[in-house]
Amino acid sequence: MSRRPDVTAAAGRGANREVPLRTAHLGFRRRLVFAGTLLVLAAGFLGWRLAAIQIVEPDRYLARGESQRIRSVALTAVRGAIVDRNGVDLALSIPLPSLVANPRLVTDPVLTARRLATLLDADMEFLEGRLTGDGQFAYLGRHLDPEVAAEVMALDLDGIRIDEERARVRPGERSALGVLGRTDIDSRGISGLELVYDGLLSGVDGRKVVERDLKGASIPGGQYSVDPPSHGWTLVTTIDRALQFEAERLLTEGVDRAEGRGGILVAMDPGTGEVLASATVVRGDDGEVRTSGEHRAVTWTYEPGSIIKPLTFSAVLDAAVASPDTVREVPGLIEVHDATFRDAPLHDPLDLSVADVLCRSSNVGTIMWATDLGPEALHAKFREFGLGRVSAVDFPGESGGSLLSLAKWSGTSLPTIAIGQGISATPMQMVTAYAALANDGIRPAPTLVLGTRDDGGMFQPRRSGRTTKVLPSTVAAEVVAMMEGVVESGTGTRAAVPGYRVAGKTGTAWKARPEGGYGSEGDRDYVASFVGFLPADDPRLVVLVVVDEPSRVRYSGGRAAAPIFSVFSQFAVRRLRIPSEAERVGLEQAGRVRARTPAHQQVLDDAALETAATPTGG
Amino acid sequence: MTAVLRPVRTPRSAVGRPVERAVSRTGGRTAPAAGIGTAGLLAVTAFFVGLMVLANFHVVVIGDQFEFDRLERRLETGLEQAQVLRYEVARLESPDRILLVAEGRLGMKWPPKRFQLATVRFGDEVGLAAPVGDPFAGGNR
Repeated sequence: MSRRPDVTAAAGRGANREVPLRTAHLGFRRRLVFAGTLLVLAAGFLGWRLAAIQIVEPDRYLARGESQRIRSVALTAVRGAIVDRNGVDLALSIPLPSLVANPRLVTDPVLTARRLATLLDADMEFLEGRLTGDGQFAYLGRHLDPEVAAEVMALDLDGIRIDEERARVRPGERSALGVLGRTDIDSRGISGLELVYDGLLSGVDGRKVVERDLKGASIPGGQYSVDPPSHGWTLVTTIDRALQFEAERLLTEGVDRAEGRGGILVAMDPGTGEVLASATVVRGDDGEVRTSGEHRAVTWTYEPGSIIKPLTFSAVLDAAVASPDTVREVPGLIEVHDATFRDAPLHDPLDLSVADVLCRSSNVGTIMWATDLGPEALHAKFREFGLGRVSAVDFPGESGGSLLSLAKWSGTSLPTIAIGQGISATPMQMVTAYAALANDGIRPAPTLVLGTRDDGGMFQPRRSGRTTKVLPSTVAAEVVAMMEGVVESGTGTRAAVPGYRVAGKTGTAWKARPEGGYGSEGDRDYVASFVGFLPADDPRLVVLVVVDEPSRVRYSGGRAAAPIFSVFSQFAVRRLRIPSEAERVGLEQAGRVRARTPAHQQVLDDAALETAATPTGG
Repeated sequence: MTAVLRPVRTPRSAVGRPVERAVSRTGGRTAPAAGIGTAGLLAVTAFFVGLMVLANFHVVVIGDQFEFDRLERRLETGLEQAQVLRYEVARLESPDRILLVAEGRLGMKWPPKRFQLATVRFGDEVGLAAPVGDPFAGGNR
């Protein structure tokens, strides 16, 4: 058998066809031309693209290249902290995780929403809506608990990621919330000090431009420039955190006990006008008394009632109409124009000195002396005390109160205003007016801010406000002495602070009804208040306590507000290291020192023990 | 074409036969040629050494760049961590939380009467100076 292949069997159609050589050459040439044309076209296309890229529109491609390599990263300025007078953080910004979705990458929105809803404690339909949106970015939750964020990431869901964002937090939760204010979700101040000092706290964002490779690493020698952020400054407030907390706690207890609708406590250093604590509590719909987010000490006005009487008598004494010892007969009631004013309890005519009138908080006696003084002098003195105009505290929403101009006074305005009705004031105005009495007649400018500390830690004190001389110091001292009597034997005995001389005044004002008027006897609402300062001869602390609508059983300032003043002051004198009368005896003697802090006290104790243990010679 | 004869190792047994010497057409190797060769060799060596130095330098630069990036990230994280810790300290120091823990977890109760420590000590013989300035200007955090 031949091994040669059978050509006829193996060949297909045309195998036996004879192709002339010339035809074959033609076919080859055609293919050659075709291929050549293709190559030329391809080369032409490449040349055209090259020209387009390099010559026609090079900027576009340069920009595109740069956009791929060069990253411009915003360096967010950290919002400055708000600290108390001792440097304790009251509000600061920290990074917290936010949950972000890219809806285009989410494979199963329904299942994803269901799994997230339980973890985030959010509505499933809301999440589903976010996950099925058109965009590539949707927030699912902002400022989450880091543990929750970690649990979400453990689910390894498609299109879900975590972005870090700065969130404003307050370590003391709601403490001093009304003073500090709030920020929105993007850390912009919207109320309180956060709003007033927003520009200063916010800082200015910076920017970093860096050239990066595909993996995100910086390219050595590449473009790199940093415009550093200017972080927000730290705001140093006058608030003392411990005093603030105790004020809120005691006020909550006191308002609850008095069954009031709310309460306000303001503590101030009379020498400087620095507000040491400013607490507001309100009774919620659930009946619970809790710290309010509103700073009512400056936004809320009320008719102060009898606590205005020391201001009235300041005017009387300053105008030399009377002295504290001047006695006159005071009836139980008095008619002025068409109105009758009476003392409570009603009494027969009594011979009362000016000091007695104040001590007993006699409406009739006060009206009689105010009438002798005249409306012009009273109005002028009240204006000097800062009533009827906004204070220097510079707080959003601050009210100026209401002190009618003299032209608008009616026949009953003088007697009414002299006893604290028909005039409205904020608690801050009243405590500042009392600070003037405590400060030798000089009204300080109230302030909530000690200063600022810049990014480098440099402290810049706040420019002190303008003080006003309201009274001669002798007149102020006389009024203070009369006010001491109120706490010693008058209506404010419950405000006594053991070991300290306290000067103060109670106030029990009728509260105006929204529909007008004050209601009828037995159906009235009251505002109880007490304002005082200590030590009376060298005041270092002024405290005002207001209880709004206490129960009709315990509605007087002496019963509802004075006890709160007392317990708060007992704490405050220790916190502020204000020596008692006994402790002040011989304080100037050599060897007697005032402990500065508990730690300092400990140092003194240890040193004293060592001294005692050391054997002496001889 | 010119043929260059190379020196040929002759067997020792071939002693006595006339030795063929390879001689270039230009004669023996001259000093400038040898110098050029050496210089070329040195240049090549220097080139490669330079390349290696450059490569090494590049490695160092890249390494340092990575280190720089890492430090930058660490600084950023550290600053954020410091803020978080600062918040945590403030939260733990918060009287509200302390009271909550004391009354809750620890079951502590308010005393019927509080004893306040004296702010001034009597008969203190310690020679410490009295505080100057604002005694309440405390921490600087």
